[in-house]
Amino acid sequence: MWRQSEILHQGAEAIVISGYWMGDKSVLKIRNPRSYRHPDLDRRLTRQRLSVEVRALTKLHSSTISCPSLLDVDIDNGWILLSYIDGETLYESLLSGSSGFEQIRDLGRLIRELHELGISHGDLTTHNIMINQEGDLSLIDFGLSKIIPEIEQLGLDLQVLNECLNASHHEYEGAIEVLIEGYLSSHNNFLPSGDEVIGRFNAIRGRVRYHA
Amino acid sequence: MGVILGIESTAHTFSIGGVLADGETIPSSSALYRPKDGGIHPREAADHHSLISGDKIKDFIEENNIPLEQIDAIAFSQGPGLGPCLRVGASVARSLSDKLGVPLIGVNHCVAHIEIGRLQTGCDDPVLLYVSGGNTQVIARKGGRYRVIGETLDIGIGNMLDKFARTQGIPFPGGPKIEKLALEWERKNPVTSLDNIILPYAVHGMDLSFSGILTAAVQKISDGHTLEEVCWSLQEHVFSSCIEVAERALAHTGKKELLLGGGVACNERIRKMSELMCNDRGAIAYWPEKQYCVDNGTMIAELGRRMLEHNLETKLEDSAIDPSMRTDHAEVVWT
Ligand SMILES: Nc1ncnc2c1ncn2[C@@H]1O[C@H](COP(=O)(O)OP(=O)(O)O)[C@@H](O)[C@H]1O
Ligand SMILES: [Mg+2]
Repeated sequence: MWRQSEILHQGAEAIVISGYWMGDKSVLKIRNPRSYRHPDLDRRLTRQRLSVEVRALTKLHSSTISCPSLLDVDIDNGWILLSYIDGETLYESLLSGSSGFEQIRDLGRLIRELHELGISHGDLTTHNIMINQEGDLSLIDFGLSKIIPEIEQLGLDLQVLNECLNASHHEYEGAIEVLIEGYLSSHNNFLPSGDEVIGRFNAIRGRVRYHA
Repeated sequence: MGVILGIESTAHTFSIGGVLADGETIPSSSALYRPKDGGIHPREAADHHSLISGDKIKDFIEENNIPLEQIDAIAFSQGPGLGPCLRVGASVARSLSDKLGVPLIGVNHCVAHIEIGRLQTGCDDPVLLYVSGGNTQVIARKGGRYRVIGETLDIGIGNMLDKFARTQGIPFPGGPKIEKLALEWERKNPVTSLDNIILPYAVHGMDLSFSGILTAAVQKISDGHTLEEVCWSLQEHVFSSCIEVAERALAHTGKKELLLGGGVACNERIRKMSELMCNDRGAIAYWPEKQYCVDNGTMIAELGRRMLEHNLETKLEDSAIDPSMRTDHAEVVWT
């Protein structure tokens, strides 16, 4: 039922392989044990992350947010099978200039939508955001996400992204401000409000300086 | 041959070291301020530094037989760090530079950890895992600057270890003692399960946090776990989280070298973990000698030397300290 084609990515946690599952293009993400950490800790983290990824994707399946659909999972053996998302990472797309401030603004809005569903991503770097030819954004890699997160986790999503924008996409000066604009452009009455989350993000940002 | 002197005083350590113009290092002479009741007292640390700085510098120059006319420049930690401590180093550096009539070079403390590591280990373009008392950062060079890829959102890892140690009556700095106790536990319990003593594991994307695990570790002691076991579990959890973030940084940047720096990089367990992680992904782990992992004047001199080669002197009017100096504040023009 599964026919492997190529290794897409050898990341810090998982190896991602593309292939065909019952004829449909899909990806197999295998979380290999990390030899540096104690096997008990490794097992615990792998299970935790796989199961939260499953829960987040299940919850997102019925939403308007684009993300892979869950095809199969084996928690004991550390793998998950997902539908294939067409496109490239936002990281690459910003680097090549195919994406720019407009997409960053869209991304802000998308993150707010995610937060309004009661999910924090937990690992919002531009490597975990995909964009296709039409400019549609998708979110992937929910292993560190939280369902029904506290406001701190929502603020942290923005901080992680802020740090990534500074470190990897410094040529887009003021990107975080544009992202915040997008984040605040949704006017649902969900709590905590956009302003509250941005307030928390600013507090986190201020905290992360020199820690004596 | 000319000598560049470096003065370090960002936090608990006052240190002076040097480097010859060709990069040969002169080991530092350092003094550590140990708070009596454990807490952090920037002003007391600063008083300590100003009290001993004069003698330290005099002794260093005498013991290493450095002729004053061979001193090419005075480098000092301009930031980031504790304001009162930084001020002592800066004013000592200013007066030395004035007295000797040589350039003054204000350097970034975090960047100095990278440059001494590169000089000592021969690595070229590493991801730095900088694990010290006040700082925990993952740094790499991109677009002509050293940039922070990930960092702690609350306290530094060394700070967390010291604070935990203090709750158990272990004097500052507590890290080395925690390492010993953890080793003891492993020696006595070679097949013990970490599932018996689970602590929080706080990785947030590329960032880390340590205050939650501190509270939880103290609680484990109250729950009746032995200090040795808690130390062991604490090390396994926090070091793994640091190495995980370092590995993500390697994956994201495509770099193939990991460099450890900062006082916690003296720990054998985190060194071992770095090595295992790097071996698994075809990268190489490096760390400098222990004396150059901890805060030291030599690393300040080394960064000063690189900057002097490019005439990056600091004018007196620009020599004010900057306690929250950013790692990416200055362009990196040297190779
Ligand atoms: N569903 C998918 N469709 C297409 N590509 C994917 C998919 N999931 C992951 N990838 C690719 O694999 C990379 C790593 O996947 P990710 O789930 O983020 O794993 P990791 O935990 O290693 O970061 C992504 O950056 C992306 O390029
Ligand atoms: Mg990813």
